[in-house]
Order: sequence, then C-alpha cells, then structure tokens
Amino acid sequence: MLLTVIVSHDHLTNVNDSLALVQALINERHTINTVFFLFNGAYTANAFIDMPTDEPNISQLWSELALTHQIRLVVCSASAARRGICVTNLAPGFNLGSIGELVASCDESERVLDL
Amino acid sequence: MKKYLIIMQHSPYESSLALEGLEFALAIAAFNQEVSLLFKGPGVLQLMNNQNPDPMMYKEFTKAYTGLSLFGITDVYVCQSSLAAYNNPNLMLQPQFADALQISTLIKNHDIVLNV
Repeated sequence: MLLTVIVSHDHLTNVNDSLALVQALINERHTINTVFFLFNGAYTANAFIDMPTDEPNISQLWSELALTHQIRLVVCSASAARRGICVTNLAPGFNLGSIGELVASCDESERVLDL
Repeated sequence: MKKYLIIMQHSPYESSLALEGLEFALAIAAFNQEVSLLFKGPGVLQLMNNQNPDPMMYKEFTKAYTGLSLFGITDVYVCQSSLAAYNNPNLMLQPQFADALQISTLIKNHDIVLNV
C-alpha cells in the first residue's frame, strides 16, 4: 500500500514510536511515498542534535532509514523557518518542501498516517 | 481532490501551533482541496469573540476565521461538549455543532484526518 506519513511532534516526544511504526510498515512491504515533518516535527531535521550516548538520536535514525530505504523525508519550510531549521543545518536525507508537496503526496497515497 | 478534516486542538496563544494550524488549513485549501475544520478541546477557544491579546506580544490571528469562506472553507464544526466545558462562550462565527457520534461520522466521511 502506498502511504504518506506525517510527523508533527518533536524528536523528544514519543521517542522512537513514529520511527518504529515506519520501520514496521517497510518490513510489511508497504511503500512510503513521503514522510512529512510538520510543526514541531521540523525539529527532527536539525543536524546539530547531539544526544547523550545512551539515548537514541532520532534525527540520525531517520536519516539512516531514509538513506537505506530511499524514503523521501520532507520538512515543511514554514515550520522549519520558525524553528531555526534551514539548508545549513538540515540533517542528511531531509529536504525542505512545501505544503504543495504534501498535498501531492496525499493525493497519490492510499492512506495518510498522522503521527 | 481529497477531503481533509483538520482538527484544531490547541488554545490560541499557548504556542504558535494554533496559528500554524490555521496557516496549514489555508495552504491546503489554496491547493483546491476540500477542507473541513473541527475545533475540539482547548481548540474551541480559538473561535471566542473579543480575545484582545496583548498586541505587543501576539497577533490576533483568529480574526481570520471570520473570513474562512473566502478560502473556500465552509464546513466548520465545533465539539459541543468541549464548548460546554468552557461555559459556552460567544463565538465569532456560526459553526455546526457536533457531538461524539457526529464527530466519528465526520472522521469517517473524510479521506484525510490531521490533528493540529
């Protein structure tokens, strides 16, 4: 099934849950069209997140997931601007994008998951 | 074209999320999608009349809700029990009121449901 996933909580909330769900969907052979990071979700795209060594770095895990499975990660540029996320500190695998991209992805997808 | 239900659950000035939710809804409507809004929980406070926030700190962005029809958004719902929890304040527009059963029907009748 073709899916669009929307993450609107920051990288410290429900740590791992959204990522684990997306990983499980991939394992079940669903296709993730795009993962959108909206509102506080934009914080996830900050390349400067530096977690203590015994805590997961969600930003880095998303980057790895995106690169391993060729998943498009899009950060809403309006949400990003408000939170100091821009091209200079965008983590690998993340792209800045518009609501237009979200609408297009939702239009193509069979299901939209809002996490 | 898909039908979006955007559920507004944040009070207007606790953070920028209420304003961002409004901008998000208008942006989606600008792409010719069918958008309905549901105000629920503290979100119903966004529609209160006479908010008068401190103009130095906050923009009274909620005034934009009176012009939603200009953006093609005509379906505005308010959770009845949330409104009652805030003593039924005067609202700046005439929404449709929805109880729990009607809200579940609303969710069923939209292709995409997004929480703000």
